[in-house]
Amino acid sequence: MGETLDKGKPRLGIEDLGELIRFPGLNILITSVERVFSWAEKSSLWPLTFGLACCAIEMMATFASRFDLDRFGVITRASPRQADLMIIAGTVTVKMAERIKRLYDQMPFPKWVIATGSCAISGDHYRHIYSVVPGVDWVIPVDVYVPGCPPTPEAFMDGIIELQRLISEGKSRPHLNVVSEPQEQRASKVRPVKTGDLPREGTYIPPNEVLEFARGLKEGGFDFLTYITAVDYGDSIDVVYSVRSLERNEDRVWKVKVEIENPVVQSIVPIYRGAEWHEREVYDLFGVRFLGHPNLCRILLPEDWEGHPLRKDYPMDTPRLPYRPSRKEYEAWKKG
Amino acid sequence: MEERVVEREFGELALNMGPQHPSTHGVFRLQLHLRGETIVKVVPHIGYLHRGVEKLSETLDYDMLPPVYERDDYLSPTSNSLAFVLAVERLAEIEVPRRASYLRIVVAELQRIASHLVWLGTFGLDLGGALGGGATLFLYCFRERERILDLMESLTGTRFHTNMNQIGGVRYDVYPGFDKEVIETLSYIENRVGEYREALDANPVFLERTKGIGIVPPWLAREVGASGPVLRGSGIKYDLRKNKPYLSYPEFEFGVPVGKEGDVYDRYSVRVEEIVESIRIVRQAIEGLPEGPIHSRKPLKSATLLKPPKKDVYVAVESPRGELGMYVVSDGSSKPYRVKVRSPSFSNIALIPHILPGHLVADAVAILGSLDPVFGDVDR
Repeated sequence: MGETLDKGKPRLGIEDLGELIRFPGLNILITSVERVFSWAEKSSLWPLTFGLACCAIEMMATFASRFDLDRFGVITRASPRQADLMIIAGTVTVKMAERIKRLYDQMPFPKWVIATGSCAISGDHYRHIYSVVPGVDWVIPVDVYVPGCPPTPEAFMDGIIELQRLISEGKSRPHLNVVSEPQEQRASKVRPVKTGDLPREGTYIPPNEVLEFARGLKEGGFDFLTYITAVDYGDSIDVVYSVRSLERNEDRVWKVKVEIENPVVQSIVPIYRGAEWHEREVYDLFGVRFLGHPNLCRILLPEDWEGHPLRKDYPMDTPRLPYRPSRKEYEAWKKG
Repeated sequence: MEERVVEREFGELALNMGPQHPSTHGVFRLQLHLRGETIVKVVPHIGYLHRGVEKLSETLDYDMLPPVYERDDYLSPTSNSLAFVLAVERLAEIEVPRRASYLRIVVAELQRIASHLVWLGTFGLDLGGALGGGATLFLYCFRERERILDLMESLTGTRFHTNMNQIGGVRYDVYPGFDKEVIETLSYIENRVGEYREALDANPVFLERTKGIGIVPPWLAREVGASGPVLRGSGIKYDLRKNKPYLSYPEFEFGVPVGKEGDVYDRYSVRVEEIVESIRIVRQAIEGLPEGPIHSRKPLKSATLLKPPKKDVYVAVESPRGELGMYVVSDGSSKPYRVKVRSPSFSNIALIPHILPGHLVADAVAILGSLDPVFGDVDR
């Protein structure tokens, strides 16, 4: 510990702040205001209680008993208005990016950002996914990066100490991943689908008889809705339903084949309440419309999303990164 | 008690909670419509952590996928990869050696304990003042959890994304002395959890805030597809480890705790008793660990790509949150054609709009916490 801390004089005692002249009964410290301020700032970093994914669990562990971040003066605040440090712990999605930007804007100056974990740094293995922002520095400036998937508490603490060092040296230079011109992105190739070649076995029900069929099953004791999903077979889409009878411990799976151009199927929400979210998910990701659904709208993706990602003709890295600010926008935004 | 409408002239008040809120257990947004303090309508918004893992899995080989799924439900990563490898093993008809099966159970059950400990700790934070400032239980539970993470780290090298499960077996074998460490840790945790149970059950504030609140009637739990402790808290004895056995679970003796009322207290009680049952399972697995290989396929370096036959399967495991299933469609190539993750949290928090109305705002946090959602699992 001692060696890392000595690197670049990070741990400033009162003696290191300036020139301390000792007199009997009276000491005089001669220093600059800036140095005193940065000394105070680095010793009382208050991060926003804010976790996104797996890294947040390690962050919680770091705050908890064994690792105890309180001894660094790091105490979490639930409101961005009281916080001066934002720890991005987890994958940043397009839907969340706007909120992160807003939270960041709400924090008072001076403020710092630590990006924890591969996802917050670069997107990690989700980098090319349609809904993921490849690194939080596309949205807000980042001071310290802590690598790992997820970083261990030790790495996490090292990040905090590094930030303290930057603050006490007055060196903090946040990094923002900006472009001078909006860039055209190329989407990847779509994997070709060999239609007609695939196993499509099981009980097939016509789309307009689903409600009756489901009612019959439910009256027969199959009242546990396991899941509803869909599979895109290129020329048509199979909606797959699975229900269960918990007493008999039996499953019933049935499928509905719908056209790819105009996929419409009856909703089973009147029979199974839980179908509401499952059908919304299938609508969101496949574009299958459910007749009689009380509130058929997107559930996972933002309302204004275009296309249905789990269709086979939808490239995985469909360019949709509207939040990457250009250099000009960033400068304008920094001035306020 | 007569209901008094305080703000008649204002009508309903819409209150937004999340996505950044310390008690939403992740990125979750609740739109609460209030009349006075009482919730009249709830609109949940999810998808803030939608990472498109189902699309990603269509582009990766089968052997590359278990680590990817471990990031889904990050409190019990092993359950995710376990469900996937079991599905692929059924597709490709791969037998798993008995020792591997036992080791998978050891890791899965240890993570169930760790996951329930995190839940108990954060639940203490949710209830706040009831538990000595709220942070006490959180600090205690995380202290106990560290012991399990230490075991995981010395076994696999990582603290919780263990990457233990591979198609055909497990990646790491136990080292000499592991069994002793596990037994020691388990008795330590058993004592501690018993203490917390006693302390909480004797705490009138805790009981006041959990009993009779957030009741999930059994019919609703079934229709929504709620599973795990939520389903069992409502009095339905259904556990996939017993009812649709996988791995070597039939060889172990363990109980399935159930609740009566289906309220927050019952779900708490089921989870705490499950910790004790998991401890029993791990003890039996460690003591009866069979000898033999841990992998039925050749080491990956020399293996050719796995190409399962054209079929679709659905395999589910009992994760700490409930039924975690994988619906895998294979087109005969080395990459899955389609993978659907049937996540327990997704179905469980679909209960929210049905059970929150009629409660006070302060209870919303307790009820949400009692469902134990993990948003990586909800949004995938």
